[in-house]
Amino acid sequence: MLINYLSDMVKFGLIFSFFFIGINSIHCQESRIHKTEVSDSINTIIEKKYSGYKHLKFYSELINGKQLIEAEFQQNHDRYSLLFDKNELVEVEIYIDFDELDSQLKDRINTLLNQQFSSFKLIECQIVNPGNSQYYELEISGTRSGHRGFYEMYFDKNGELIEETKLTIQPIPTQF
Amino acid sequence: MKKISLLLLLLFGNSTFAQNLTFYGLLPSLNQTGRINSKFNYNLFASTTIDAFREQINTVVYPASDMQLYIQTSLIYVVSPKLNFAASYTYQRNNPFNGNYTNEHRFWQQAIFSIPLSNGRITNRFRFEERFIQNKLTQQYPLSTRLRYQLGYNRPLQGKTLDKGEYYLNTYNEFYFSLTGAKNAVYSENWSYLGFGLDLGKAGKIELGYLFQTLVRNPTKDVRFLNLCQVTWITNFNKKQVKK
Repeated sequence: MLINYLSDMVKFGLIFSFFFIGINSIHCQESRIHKTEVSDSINTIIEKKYSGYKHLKFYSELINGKQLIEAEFQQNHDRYSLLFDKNELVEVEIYIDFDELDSQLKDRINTLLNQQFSSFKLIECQIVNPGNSQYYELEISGTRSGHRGFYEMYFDKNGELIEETKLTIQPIPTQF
Repeated sequence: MKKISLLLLLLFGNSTFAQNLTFYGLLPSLNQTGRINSKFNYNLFASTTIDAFREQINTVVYPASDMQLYIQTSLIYVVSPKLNFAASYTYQRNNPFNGNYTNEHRFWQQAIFSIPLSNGRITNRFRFEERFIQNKLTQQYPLSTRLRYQLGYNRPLQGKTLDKGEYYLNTYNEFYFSLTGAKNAVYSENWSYLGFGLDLGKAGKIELGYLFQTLVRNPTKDVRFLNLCQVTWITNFNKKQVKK
């Protein structure tokens, strides 16, 4: 039974491999790219600003008609996502623990979230564009008017809510 | 010498005398999901299993035929991106265009738990089924129950998210355990699937895959192997904002 199974899997695997190898013209909005496909300027910025990075990956992204380069990596246990327009760094996101935030800021955000939700759970926290134009992006699972939902909430440096987006969660796809 | 002969008989006896059957066919299917509200989604799934080739095994002729019609409606409760529950009524008709057809009415309840892995996710699906399969002799629909566990993995093949024009991989293995009622074996069925899909944007997704079904077909544990080329058109009426 096992031999039959493996033989059939190999047979059909080969057929489908040939089919998909034949289709090589791919249009995509986001795709993984190799380090060598990225300009030296971008590589230099990362090398200089984020030395000691690990697990560097590049993606080519089409956002609002613009072709951008996204770099993702880890440095000192923090996860980074950098966005480049041509060779210019336009956005930096750092995934951090909420507890790493300044205690006053944390308290302010907690107060606002407690006002907004009867109960909530923080899923992910990011600092966006650290520096002068810094803000915070939080992903929240929260209950409001008895209904639990998932939200992306943006806070400024003082902990004031700038914007929120309710996320639509797709069901996990299965067949049969 | 006698001992060696006995050993060979034990090792290969099953395959020598077994009446295992192998068929090849097609499985076109439609899979449509839509949002009811922020928590509930519906799903409609319909397929037909076609044995594409006439086969003669020993003295028995198995003509090419439509083996099964399957219509599944389900209601999905989305607890979180990682956890879903669902319940369904499913209608199945075996040999739908032959006089020896049998109908089945099935209810099931399931839980899916998904774990992110690399750029994709592993899915664990547990499903409990209450099956009412027509007995042609008595014209009754006795109850039998079955437990299914599906371990799957799917991932986009270009980047972290699936966008229009991009390909994805979908694969799973599903174990079927017949619990109560008429059955040929407890571990009665196994399905393995490997598919590749293409995101067509508003038109949904199209997926092409190889499905290998193994079924214990009688109490003497003879097996039916079914090799299917599955083509699925997947549509979703809610593509506004997606959280991965």
